[in-house]
Amino acid sequence: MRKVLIIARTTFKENIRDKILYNLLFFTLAIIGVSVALGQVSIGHEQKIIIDMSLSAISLFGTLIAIFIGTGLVYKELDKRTIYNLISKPVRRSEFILGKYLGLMSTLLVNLALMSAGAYLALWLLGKSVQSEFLYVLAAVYAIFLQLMLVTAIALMFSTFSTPVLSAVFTFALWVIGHFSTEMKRLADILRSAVTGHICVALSYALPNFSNFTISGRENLLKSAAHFHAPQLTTLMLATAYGFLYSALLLTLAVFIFQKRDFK
Amino acid sequence: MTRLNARLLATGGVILSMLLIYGVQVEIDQRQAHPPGGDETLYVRDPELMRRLSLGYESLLADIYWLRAVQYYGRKPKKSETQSYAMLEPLLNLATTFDPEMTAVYRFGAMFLSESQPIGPGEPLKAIELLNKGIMNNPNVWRFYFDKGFVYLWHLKDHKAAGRAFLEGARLPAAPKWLESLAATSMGEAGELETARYLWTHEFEEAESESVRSNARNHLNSLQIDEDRWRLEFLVTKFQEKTGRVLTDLNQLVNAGCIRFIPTDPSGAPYEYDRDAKGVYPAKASKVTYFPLKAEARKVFQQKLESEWEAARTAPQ
Amino acid sequence: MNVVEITHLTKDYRTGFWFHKRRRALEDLSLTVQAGEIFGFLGPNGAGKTTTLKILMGLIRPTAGKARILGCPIDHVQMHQEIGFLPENPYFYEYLTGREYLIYTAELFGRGRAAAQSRAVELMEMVRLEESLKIPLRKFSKGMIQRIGIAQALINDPRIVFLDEPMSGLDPVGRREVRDIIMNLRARGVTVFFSSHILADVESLCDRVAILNRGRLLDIGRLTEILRMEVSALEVMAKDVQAVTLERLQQLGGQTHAIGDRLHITLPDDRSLLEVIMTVQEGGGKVISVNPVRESLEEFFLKRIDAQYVSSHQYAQAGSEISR
Repeated sequence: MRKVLIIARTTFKENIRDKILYNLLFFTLAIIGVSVALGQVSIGHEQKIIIDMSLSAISLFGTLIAIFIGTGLVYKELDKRTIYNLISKPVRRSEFILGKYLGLMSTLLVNLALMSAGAYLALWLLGKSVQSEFLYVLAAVYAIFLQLMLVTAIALMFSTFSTPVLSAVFTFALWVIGHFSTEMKRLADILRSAVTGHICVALSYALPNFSNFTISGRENLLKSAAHFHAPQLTTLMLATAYGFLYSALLLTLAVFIFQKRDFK
Repeated sequence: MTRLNARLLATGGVILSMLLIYGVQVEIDQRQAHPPGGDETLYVRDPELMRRLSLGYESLLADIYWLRAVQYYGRKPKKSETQSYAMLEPLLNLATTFDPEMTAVYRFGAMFLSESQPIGPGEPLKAIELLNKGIMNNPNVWRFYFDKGFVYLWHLKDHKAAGRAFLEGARLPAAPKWLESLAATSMGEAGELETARYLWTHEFEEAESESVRSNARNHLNSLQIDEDRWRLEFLVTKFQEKTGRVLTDLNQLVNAGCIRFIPTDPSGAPYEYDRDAKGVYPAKASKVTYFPLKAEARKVFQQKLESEWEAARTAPQ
Repeated sequence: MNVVEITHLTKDYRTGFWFHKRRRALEDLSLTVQAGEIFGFLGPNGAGKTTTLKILMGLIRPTAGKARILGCPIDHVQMHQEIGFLPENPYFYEYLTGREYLIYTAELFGRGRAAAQSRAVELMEMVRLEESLKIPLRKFSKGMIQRIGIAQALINDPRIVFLDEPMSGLDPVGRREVRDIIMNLRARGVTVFFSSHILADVESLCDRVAILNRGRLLDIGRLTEILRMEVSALEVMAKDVQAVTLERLQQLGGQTHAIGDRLHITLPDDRSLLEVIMTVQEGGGKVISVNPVRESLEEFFLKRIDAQYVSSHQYAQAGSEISR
C-alpha cells in the first residue's frame, strides 16, 4: 500500500506539472467568471445561473481531464519506457495500476476543490451571503466526483491495452452511452421482440450507468443544487456504492489485462 | 496461498462485485421515480432552437425524435393510470421540422393522433394539421390527401371536407383511380357503413406496414360485426313484435325460422344475446378486436334494413 | 555461488495484426553468472540481449524456460529489492528533477523520506550530477540521463546490477567514468551483468562474456579464450598531409585512404611506424592517433556464423554499429 501511495504521489506531481490541466482549469474558471457577468444581466436568477454554469463546467471539464489524462496514464509509461524502471523495482503491477489511478483521482479532487472554490467565490462576488443551503451544491460536486471516479477507471482500463486516442474515443463513447442506460431499459419495454429486448436490458445493466450520478429521485442533481433542494441521502449513498463497486471492478480488469502484458 | 486459490478468490470477488453492482442498480432504478406514464419531459419544444443546437445533425435528430414518438406512443401504461399522449404532437412536430420529407412520420403520426382513447389521444384536428404540414412540404404525395380525407370522414364525420381532400388528391398525377370514386362515395349520401368499408379496404390494401394492415383489418372486422349485430338486433325486434315473446337466446330465432343458424363473428365465434343489455354482442370468449361504430351510423343502416324488410314482405312468395 | 541461473529460456514475440505470427527472439538460452564477477553480454543489435534482460527483470514473460536470480524465481517481487537495473536508452519522468526522481526510486525500495533524500544526493554526487540537483530531467543531455540511470540502478545498494548498454550515448570521459563505477562495484563484491555490442567496452572489464547472435548463445567464457586477441595491423590517423608525402608513405608500405580532411594509413606491422610518423610531421602534417587493429566482433561473427545464416543486411547493420 505504501508503494501505491508513492506512485500516486508521483503521478499527482506529473499531473500538476502537465499543461493540459492548466488549460482546462483556466477554461473552467473563465466560464465561472462569465457566469458572474451573465448572472448580473439576468433578472432574478443570478444564483441559479452561476450554480448551473459552474457545475456544468466543473462536470464537463472534470470529465475531459479524466479522459485526456486518464487515457495517457499507462500508455505514456509504456511509450516512453519509464515503466522499465518501475516494474524492475520491487513493485507489483497491480500496485502500479492502483498508484496511477489514485494519483489522478487526487489530482481531480484538488481540481474539483479549486473549481468549487471558484464557484463559491463567484457567488460571494455577487453579494450572496453564503447560506447553509450552499452546502447542497457540494452534494452535486460530490456526485460529479463519483462520476469522474468511474470515467477515470474506464479510461485507465482502456489505456492498459490501447492507444490514448482510441482509449479516449472508447471512454467518451461509453460515457455518452452510459447516460442513456435508462432510455435503453425503456427501449426494451417497447421492443417486444424477446431477443433484442433482452439484449437491451442486459446492456443497460452491464454498461456503466452515468445517470445514477446525475439523477436524485425525480430531479437532476445539478438542477436541484441550483434550486437549493436537499439531495436525497439514500440516492447519494447508492450512487457512492455504485461508483466504488464499478470502479473497483474496472480496476481489477485493468490489472488483469496489465498482468499479461509484455513491455517490449 | 496457492496460485489456484488466489485465482478462485479473485474470480469469486469479481462475480460478487458484479452481483452487487446489479443489486445497487436495481435499487437505484426503483428510487428514480419516473413521472407517470414514462418520461413526460421534453426539454426543448421549439424546433427552431433545437435545430440550431443540433450542429448539423438534423436528419439524425429527426430520426431520434421519430423513434421517441413511436416509443412514446407504444409504451405500456402502468395499470392504475390512463394513457396520456401529451408529448406525442410536439415530438412529431420536432421530427417533421428536422426532416420535412419523412412521409411516414406524417402518415403514422396522423393515425396515432386521431385514434381516440385508449389507443390514441383522439385529436383528429392535430392530425389534419400535421397532414397539412406534410402536404405543404411534399405537395406530390397523394397518400397525405387520402389520409386527410380519412381523418375527416372517419373521425370528424365531415363528408364534404373528406370528399374535397380525396378530390384534391385524385388530381395528382400518381394518384390511383379509386381515389376519385372514393371522393364521389363520400360526397354522396351513401350509407356510412359502405363508405367506411370502402375506406378501410383501401387502407388495408395500401398499407405499407403490418401494424397499419392489422389496424385496418380490425376496423373491417368491426364493421362486419356492426352490420351483423344490427341485422340480428333488427330481427330480434321483429321477432318480439310478431310473437310477443321476450327473446332470451338467439336459438329462438333459429327455431322460429328467421335465420338458419347463428352467425359467427370474423373470428368464428357465434354471436350471443345479452338479456340485460337487450342486445347482440360478440361472444365473451371471442378474440376479435371490436371498435363499435357511433349510433348515427346505425340510423342509415336501420332505414336500409326497414326497406329491405318491406321489400321482402311485399314480394310475391 | 550462481547469482543468475538461466535455463532453456525461449521467447517468441507475437506479431501481425491478429498476433498470429511468431518471431523467435531468444532460443533455448542457458547460462549462469557467479557472485562477484563482471559478466559481459555481447552481441550485435537484435541478438536477444535486451530480451534476456527484460525477462530477468519481469518486464516480459518467457515463452518457455526458467530463470532464477539470487535463488528466487524472476516473478518474485521481493527479490527485486536486491537488484539494480539500467534499461537500454533509459527514459525517466521528464517533469521530475534528477533529485526528485532518485528520491522516488529510493522510496520504492522502501526507504523513508529522509533516508531517501540523503541517498539521492549521495548518488547524484557519485555520478557527478551534484550541480544539476534541481534541473528537470527534460533538460538533461543524453549523457546526463545515462548517469541518472546508473544512479537509480544503484540506489538500493544492490547485490547484482543489470546494465543494458551502459556506455551507449556517452562521450569518452563518460565511458571512462562508467568503467570506473563498474570496477568499483566489483571491488565491493557486487555482481555486474552488462550487455554491450562494443567489444572495447567488454574486453577491458569483463571476467567472462557470453556471445549471442539471433537469439542463440554462440559462446561463453573468458573473452581472450573466445577471440584471438593479437594485433593484426596498425592504423595511423593524420591530417594536413601533402600529396608528395602521400607517395613516400605508400613506399613505406602503408595503405592510405582519405576520409574528409583525415588520412588513414594502415600498416601491416609496427616496423615502419616511427618512420611513418616522422614523414607525416616533416611534410607539415599532424598525427592524430595510432591504433592497433584487432579482430573485431564483426570479424568474429563473420567467421563464426554460417554465411547463409545471416543476411547481408545484418552484417551491414552490425558493422556500422561496431565501427561507431
